[in-house]
Order: sequence, then structure tokens, then C-alpha cells
Amino acid sequence: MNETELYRVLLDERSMALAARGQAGRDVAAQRDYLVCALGNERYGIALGAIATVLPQRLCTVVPGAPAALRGIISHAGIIVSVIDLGVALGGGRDSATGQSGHLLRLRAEGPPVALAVDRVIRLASIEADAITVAPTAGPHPGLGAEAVSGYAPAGSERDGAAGGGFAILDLPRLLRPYLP
Amino acid sequence: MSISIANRILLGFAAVTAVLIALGLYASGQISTVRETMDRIVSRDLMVLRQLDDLGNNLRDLGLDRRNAVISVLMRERSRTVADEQFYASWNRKADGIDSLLADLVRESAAFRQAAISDERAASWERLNGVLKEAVENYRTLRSASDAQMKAVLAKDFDRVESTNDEATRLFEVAVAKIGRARSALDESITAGQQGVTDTYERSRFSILMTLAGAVLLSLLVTWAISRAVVRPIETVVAFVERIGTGDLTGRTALTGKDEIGRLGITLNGMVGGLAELARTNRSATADLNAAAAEIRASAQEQAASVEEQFAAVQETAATVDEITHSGAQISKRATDVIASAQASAQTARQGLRAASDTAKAMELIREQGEAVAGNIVALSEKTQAIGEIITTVNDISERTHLLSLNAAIEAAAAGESGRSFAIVAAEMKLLADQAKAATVQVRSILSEIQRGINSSVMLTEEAVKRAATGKTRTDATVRTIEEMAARVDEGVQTFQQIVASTNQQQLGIEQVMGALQNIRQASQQTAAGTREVEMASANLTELAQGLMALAERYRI
Repeated sequence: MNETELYRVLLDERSMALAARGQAGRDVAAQRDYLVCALGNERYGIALGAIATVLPQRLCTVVPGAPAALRGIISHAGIIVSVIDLGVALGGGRDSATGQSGHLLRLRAEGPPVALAVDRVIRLASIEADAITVAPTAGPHPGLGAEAVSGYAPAGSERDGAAGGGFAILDLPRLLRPYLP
Repeated sequence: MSISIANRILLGFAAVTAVLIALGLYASGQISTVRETMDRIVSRDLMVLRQLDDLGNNLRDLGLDRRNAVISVLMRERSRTVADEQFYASWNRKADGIDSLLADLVRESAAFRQAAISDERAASWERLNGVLKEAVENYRTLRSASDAQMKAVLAKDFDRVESTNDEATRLFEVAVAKIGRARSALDESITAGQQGVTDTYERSRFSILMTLAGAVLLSLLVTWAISRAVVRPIETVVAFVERIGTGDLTGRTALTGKDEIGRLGITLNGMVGGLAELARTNRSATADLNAAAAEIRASAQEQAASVEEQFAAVQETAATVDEITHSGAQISKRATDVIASAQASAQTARQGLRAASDTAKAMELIREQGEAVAGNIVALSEKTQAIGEIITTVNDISERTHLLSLNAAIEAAAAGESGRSFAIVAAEMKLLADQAKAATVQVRSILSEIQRGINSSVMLTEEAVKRAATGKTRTDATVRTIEEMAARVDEGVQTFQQIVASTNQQQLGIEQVMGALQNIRQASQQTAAGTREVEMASANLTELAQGLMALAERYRI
């Protein structure tokens, strides 16, 4: 692929994206936006409105006696923010290899400020509400903490048809309930 | 029988010789007896004869003296002067001599009669003695008559001389007659002596003949004894030897004494034993000879066959040598070609040497250029590292842009409907950031590939430099090898020249070999002829050996 062809492909994608703009505005009421995060090999979607900002990974100050999922605390914009390891909170093991290059999701929730540590924030995803598969109350996979998963967005359900696999949609209040007062 | 044969023969000869000596002594004794007898007779008779002659002469002289005296008387008578001679004294002296002669004769005749060898001789001597005695008587009367006349002469008595002259003359005649009788008697005695000598001779001859006969008899006896003692055992031995001659070696002689025959018998026994041993040995040797002759014949036949083979082999060898000659010529030609090729090879090797030297120089240049390339590549690697740093920076920027776009999208979402277009911009930004990141990833992978390529290029260049060095080393080795090869090729050329020379010498030698083979062929033909002769000779030898076998069988052991 030479440079000219690459440039032409880029231009084609750009033009397609621009052409799809009107269609997005027409169906805006019927879709929800999720921020897709990577945690190991899994993909999790978090509602976009629940997130304040995305921060690059930084060193956390470890809090003694804290629960296992609480990685530590950081200072962000003059506010002490607790960092919760999403993988540990979902019942998985702590992956130390992803500690350096991960991202922090500062949550917009009320109460004490909290940030979720994920391996990487991949993209934004707009999923049509009809395509979301609602999870049962008692999930068939108790080991994974199925209660925190509210649904599942299958692959190819995105509105703009961008490439990417499906992801689990997290219910943040239910997830953070053990860590909040 | 213990006297040896030599002693026996010696004894016999001694006996015969003793007999002969005795015979000779006796014969010589008899001869001396005869001679003595004859001497005695001759000496006595001659002596008596001479005395008788003397007596006659003296008597005649006496008569002459008397006559002269008478004549002188007569002459004086006739008055003639006559020399006065002493007639009487002379006459008287002669008469005395006659007296003594007569006395001697009588005594000798008496003595000879006593010692006569025969009766006849004694009788004749007796007769002579008687005659002489009568002559003595007669002479005495003659002397007395003559004495008277002589005294008359002396007295010059002429008459008396005349008167006595007749008587004296008669007596003188008688005396002369008596002496003649005595002479005849002596002749008888001589005759008788001859007779006696003849008798003695006859007796001696007879006795010698008898003794000779006895000696002959004794010799015959001795000869018979010697024959009995020597010849019989020798005949026995001769019979034994004849038996040996007929081939009978089984017997042994019984003659085993201490004498020569006994020793001869012992020696013959030993000889027969030795002959028997010899015959046995001879028989076995003859058998061996027969077998050996047969073997020789077989060997000769084999040799004949092998000589034939040898002849064929010599022919083949000659053919082979001929081929060798041809192949030697070809070798020489090929060697000459090889020399030319080797010289061309030497030329090529020198060219190769130059090429290899050029190659070494080129290798050196390659190494230097490879090192330069390595240096350039290292510099290029440093540049790519700078590019990698730039890419890191770009990646960082894209990552930040990614986060920024995400935050912008979040803020747009938070802004609600008014932030929708901003959200689109944020999405575009994110897309651009993602594309930039993908581009950086791609560039990084390309860069890593470049760096891998550079690393491999560096390694390859180093390898190439090493290989160039190795190539130079090998090229140097090649140069040396080519030099050695050229030297070897030169040596090869020399060797092949020597080969050519050797091949020429070989050709000469092969020609000599051909000549020698010709000689060998002739020699093998002669050998074949000789082998046939040997075969015939061995056949004859076999026949001879069989004849010898038959001869050896003749001996009874």
C-alpha cells in the first residue's frame, strides 16, 4: 500500500463518516453512548454520561487497610480521587503488567470522587437500545460478578457500523456499591 | 698245522736247498778227490819219469865219460898229445849221482806201492820196484867194471882198458835196457793210474747221480707236502669264492685258523658279510634307483609338458612384450602430450596465480568496502534510532490526542444537544489520533524491520568482511596452492620427461628383452629336445634299473 493509496483510503473513510452525519442526527433518540474499555481480553462498556474525564495512568498512593479493589488514591485537579481497579472489582485478578499504560476513568457520580482503572479506553460506541441484550438478574456466571453487568451489546450493533467486537455493559452504581459508603 | 704256509714253504725250500748243498759239497769233494788222485798220479809218475830220464841221461853221460877216457887213452896210445883231464873224478861224481838217483827211485817206488790207490797200481809199482832193484844190481856190476877200466885209464894201462872195454860196454847196454824196462813198467803204472782215476770218476758220478735222485725225490716230497698244506685249503677257498661268484652269499667258510688260509677264510667271511650287506644295500638302492628312474621319467615327461607350456608362455610373453613395446611407444607419445599439457597447465597456473593475486587484492578491497558499508550502516542505524525517538514522540502525541478526543467526546456528551457537533469533531480527532497511532505502529514496525534489516545487514556485512578476510586468506592459500601446483606441474613435467627418457630406455630394454626372449625360445626348443633325450635316457635308465634289479635278485642273501 503506497502513500497515495493510503491517502485515498483515508479520504474515503472521512467522506463516508461525513456522509453519515445526517443519519446520526435523525436516529439520535434511539441510541445510547458507551465508552468501551479494555480489560485484558474483555471489553466493557460504560455509559458515557457517568464519566467526567479520561486520565492517563499515573502512580497511585496506596492506602493501607483498603479493600483489594482499591488500588490507591491520586490527586487530580486538587481533589483526592480513589482509584478502583475495575478488574479486581469484577472479581478477576490484578494484572500488574497493565499498571503503567492504563487509563483512569474519572466518574461523574455523586459522593466521594472515584476513578476506575482500566487497561485502555478504546473508543466511543453508540449502540441502538434495541440491540442491547438485557442480562438476567441472576447471571449464569457467578464467578464473573454477573450482577454488575446489565446487558450485552453484540458485535455489529453499533450505529455507525464501525469495526469492533461486542462488549458487556456495566451497571456502575451496582458495581460501586460495595465501595461507597 | 700251526706252522704257517710261508714257514712250510720256507722249510721245504730249506730242506731241498740243504740237500742240494750237501750234493754240491759231496760232488765237489768227489771232484777234488779225482783231481787229487790225478795230481798225485801225475806228479808221482811224472817225477818218477823225470828221475828215470835223468837216470838215463846220467847213465849216457857216464858212458860218454868212459868213452872219452878210453878215446883219450887210445889217442895217447897213438902218441897224440891229449889234454890231461880228470875223467875219473867226473865219472865218479856222476856215478855217485846215479847211485843216489837209483836209491831214491827204489825208495819212492816202494813208498808209492804202499800208498797206491789200486791194486793194479800197487802191482805196477811192485814191478817197477823189482825192475829198479835189478837195475841197481846191474849198475853195481857196471860200476865196478867201469871203475876198473877208469882206474886202468888213469894208470894208462892200455891193454887192460882194451880187455875190460867189451864187458863194460855189455854191462852198459844191459843197464840201458833195464832203464828201458823200468820206463815201460812206469808206463804200465801210468796206465793203471789212469784206470784208477777213471774208476774214481765213475764212482763219484754214480754217487752224485744217486744223491741227485734223492734230492729230486725229497723235492717232490716237499712239493707234495706244500701242495697238501696249501693247495687244498686254497681249492676250498676257490670253491667258496666260485660259490660267491655264482651269487650265493649265504655260506661261510669253515677255514678259521691262525695261518694265512685261516686269516683268508676269516677275511672272506667278513668280505661275504660285507658283500651280503652290499647286495642288500645294492638291492634296496637298485629298487630306489628303479623308483627314481621312474620318477625321473615322469619328471622328464612333466618337464617336457612344462617346456611346452614354457614355450607357449615365451610366445605369449613375446606377444605381450610386443604389445608393451607398442604401449611404451604410446606411453612415450602420451607422456609427450602430457608434458605439453602440463606445460600448458603450468602456463595456466601462472595465469591462475596472477588471477588469484588479483582476487586477493579484490578481496582486500571488498573487505575495506564492507567495513565502510558497515560504518555507513551503523550511522544509518543511529539515524533510525533518532527516527524511533521521533516516532515515540509522535506516538505519545497521538496517545494524548486520543485521550483528548475521548475527553472532548465526554464533554460534548455532557454538554448535551449543544455539544453534539463538538462530539463529531472529537470523534474525528479520535479517528485522526487512532490513524496517527496506527501509522506510528506501522512506522514502528517498519522501523523495527529496518533495524532488524540493519542489524542483519551489519551482521551480514561483518560476515562479508570476515568472509572477505577468509577469502583473502583462502586466496593466499590458493596462491600458495597454485604455486605449489605450478611447482608440482613443473616436477610433473620433469617427471614425465624422465618418464619419456625411461620409456625410451625401456624400449631399448624391451628390444633386448625381445632378443633374450628369442634366445629363450631357442633355448626352450633345445630344452624340449634335451627333455626328449632325457626322457629316452630315463626310459633306458628304467630298463637298466630293472636289469640291475634282476642282477640284484641273483644274489641270495
